[in-house]
Amino acid sequence: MGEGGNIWTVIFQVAFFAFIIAYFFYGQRIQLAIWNRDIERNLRRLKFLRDKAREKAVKVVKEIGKPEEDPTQRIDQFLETFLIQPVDMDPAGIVWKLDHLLDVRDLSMKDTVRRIAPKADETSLNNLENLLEAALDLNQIYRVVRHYYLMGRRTNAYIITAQLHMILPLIMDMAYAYDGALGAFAEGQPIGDGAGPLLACKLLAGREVKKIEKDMVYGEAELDGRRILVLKAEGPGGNVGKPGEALEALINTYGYRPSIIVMVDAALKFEGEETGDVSDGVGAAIGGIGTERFRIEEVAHKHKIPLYAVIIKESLKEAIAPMRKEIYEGVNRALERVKRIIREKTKENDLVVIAGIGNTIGIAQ
Amino acid sequence: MAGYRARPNLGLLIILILIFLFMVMAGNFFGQEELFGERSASTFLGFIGLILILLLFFKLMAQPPAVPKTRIVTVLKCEKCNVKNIRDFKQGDYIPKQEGKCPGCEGPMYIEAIYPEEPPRKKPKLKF
Repeated sequence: MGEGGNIWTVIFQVAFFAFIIAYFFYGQRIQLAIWNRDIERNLRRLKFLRDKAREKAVKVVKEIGKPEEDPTQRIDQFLETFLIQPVDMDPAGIVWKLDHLLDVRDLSMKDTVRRIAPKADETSLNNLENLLEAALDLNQIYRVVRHYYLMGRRTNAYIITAQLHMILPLIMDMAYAYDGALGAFAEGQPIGDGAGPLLACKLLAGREVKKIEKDMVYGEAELDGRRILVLKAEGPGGNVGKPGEALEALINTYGYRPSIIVMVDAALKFEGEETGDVSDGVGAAIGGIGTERFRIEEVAHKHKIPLYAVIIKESLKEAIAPMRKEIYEGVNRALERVKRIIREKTKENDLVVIAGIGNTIGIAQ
Repeated sequence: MAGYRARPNLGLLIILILIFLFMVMAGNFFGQEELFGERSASTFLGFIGLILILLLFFKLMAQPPAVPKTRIVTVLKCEKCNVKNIRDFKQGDYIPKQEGKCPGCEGPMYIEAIYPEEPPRKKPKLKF
């Protein structure tokens, strides 16, 4: 080895050790800087999605609602609305408190939408409410991520940044799902969550339907010699209704005594499962915050009515995006499953309630 | 809808450029017989480095693929003869809206489905 070679060997060895020492002392900071940069990039994306949703909401409100004043300021206020959950130190009776608050929120949102879009009909009003709720969710996601990002930076709290970075792919997935839902809500197309109402709609084809409770309808049909009462949210506007209250009314007020209740709903699939696959089980198949499920379980328990559930599997993204063909095919398979359950669990002339749970946007009755 | 995608790392590109420069410098200063044995080996490694850098550079510069706009279709079905007719979705369409008459039997048609028309997707084979 020549003299030049020795010098370079020393230089590279010094550089190598300098790198090791720097990494030893500043490794965590380097890692933090990389994570922060990654969060920033996604935050910019979230801001873009939030702004896009807001602009779309303003545009659709102007088109459909034809307001006399510019609705932008009112929409901005709407996007910042919130719900304070009831105190849960003494959880007895919390369901009714929460249910009341949800009712107030729903009425207040509908009222606001009616004011900012005075020319919209009932169907468009419900679709607009769904669109604004999706925009509100995107705004909320953006604000929460920004909050934790800035807090992590300001306090140099490694653990906050680390947790935020680790959960970010899931948050982005959710944000993209809401972004994909905007088009469907704006145009009134059926979404994946409408699998339950679609099944109910198939059963109600050509039958007379009656309104019951808040935003719910029901009709009578016959299946293999059994009388069936089919329950769904009133469409085709974006609406989930209150199936729990409707079921309570059917049983407590109208005096129906079904032998079984079959609930059909779209449910989140596990990774690796196929969209549109159907499963059945026992229990109240209904999502949401839990108040409607509580009501249904209460009434079923009180009258000792067996509760069966049929689910159509899909991802979160698919649940709020336009309904895919696989889900339509899944609904047909779910219908066969419901018929099998009814045949096996009931006798002829029995009364059965079938509840199609989900958002009925783009699906009438 | 755009998905969550990892972008090529600019830092990695810089590191690769540095490695490439190091290779070139090492080839010149150490002499071919000291570090690489032969000049051709050093040229080969430099060439590989250059290819890697160019590949990453093009990936970095490339625009994300345009998201194909899915066409939402409305499927109309005849109540009598079950003939199906597919057309583009129009605002105001809903299931099971009655619309028009069957071209075959003149029976009433209704909207049976509304869904995005998607190209057939190749599903990845799962090992589990």
